[in-house]
Amino acid sequence: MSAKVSLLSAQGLGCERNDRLLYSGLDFELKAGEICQLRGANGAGKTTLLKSLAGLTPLQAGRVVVSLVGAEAVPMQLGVEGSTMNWSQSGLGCCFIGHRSGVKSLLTPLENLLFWYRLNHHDSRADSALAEELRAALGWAGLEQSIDTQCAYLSAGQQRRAGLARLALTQASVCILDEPFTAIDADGVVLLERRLEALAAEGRIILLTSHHVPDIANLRQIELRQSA
Amino acid sequence: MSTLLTVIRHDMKLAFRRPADFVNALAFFVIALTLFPLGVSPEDSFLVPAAAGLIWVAALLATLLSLNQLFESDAQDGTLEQLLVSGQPLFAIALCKVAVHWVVTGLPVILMTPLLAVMLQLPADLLPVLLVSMLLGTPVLSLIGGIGSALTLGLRGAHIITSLIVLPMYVPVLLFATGAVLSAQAGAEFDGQLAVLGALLALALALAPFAIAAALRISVSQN
Repeated sequence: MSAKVSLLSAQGLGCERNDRLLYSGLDFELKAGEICQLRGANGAGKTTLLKSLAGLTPLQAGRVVVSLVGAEAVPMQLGVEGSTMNWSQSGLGCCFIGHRSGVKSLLTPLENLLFWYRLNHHDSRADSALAEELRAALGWAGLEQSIDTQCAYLSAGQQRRAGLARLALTQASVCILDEPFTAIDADGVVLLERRLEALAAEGRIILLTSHHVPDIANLRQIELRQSA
Repeated sequence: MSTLLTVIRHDMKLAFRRPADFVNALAFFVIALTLFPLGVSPEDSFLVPAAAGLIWVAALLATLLSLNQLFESDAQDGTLEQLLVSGQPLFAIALCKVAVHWVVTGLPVILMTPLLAVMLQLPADLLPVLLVSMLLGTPVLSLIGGIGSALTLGLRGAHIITSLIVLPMYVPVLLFATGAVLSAQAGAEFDGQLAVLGALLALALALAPFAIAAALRISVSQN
């Protein structure tokens, strides 16, 4: 993934669910290096918005445009009303960690991470050559002791950490995290906050939802208000 | 290409970590067929003409039984979302998943068939025709089943709805497959029926992956 996003701009996003307007006319811009927390009451549409930005559900209204570093003059449209966002165009990637973190309980954290890595990165190195890097990522996530234990035998928080270990490896310039702090202990929360700051310092864009206010420098907040 | 190998290896590994899922279909196949000589009649006059049809019906139902494992766990644990976000071609991933499903459910059924054919008194010279019809037909069952199981992801009573969607589309496969064996039994030409089965397989291989991919996208966006 060579391309880096310098500005992501959402214009007039809207969403309706079960005959209820969740949000409409939502505009925001995220610059490279920004960490943004999406706030809103339960049912305000936070997860829906994140899923549509990640390209899992179609945008119901509005459009999303990105500018790439070095090519700011030609903004690129990633998604428009009625279509799903297409992150894979021109080598952009998106790292999405949702409510369900995509960790298979029958596999070990290492196997899970390896599968995710292979899926998202073109890397011709053999599995054994990658293992060290992946182990380091899992070590960062606090799973040194359970790297080769099937996830079914790990606690909810440890399984969550196995999913979050992706943040130590991801090359994507946009990270979308849905409630990343759920089931994580106090040390883990600090660890994750520092990691997000480090990713932002590398010029990534981070969009997350959380019900507690993370202790992150220069945290931006966007409020999702119930429309009348 | 390497991504597809990754998906195949991943799914094979998962299948072998929980063999119960596919042993289930095989066990059903064997048990259902052993019941016929016991429950109806062990006489040649019943078994010889019925054997091929019985084997095919049992194989079809065994496939149906195993369909819901195809995407259900991926949808529940969020793997499906990760597959979509990765931007890899979803139709190719779907094809790999169906291929693995066939290898762990359809192939064991075919391998078990010669044994059960002996038990059901199927004339030995018909066995090759039956096996070819199964080699051509059971992948079609898996491919069509994939569409049904992707469409019903996350629904309550998904199993029943999958069967309702998929069974009508299984009927042509069943007709041509058993038709081939019956023709061979009557001493007539049977390559026409096998050719139709081959055509069905080609058609399913070409179209089903796209249908499955579209159905998966809809399912993910709804849940």
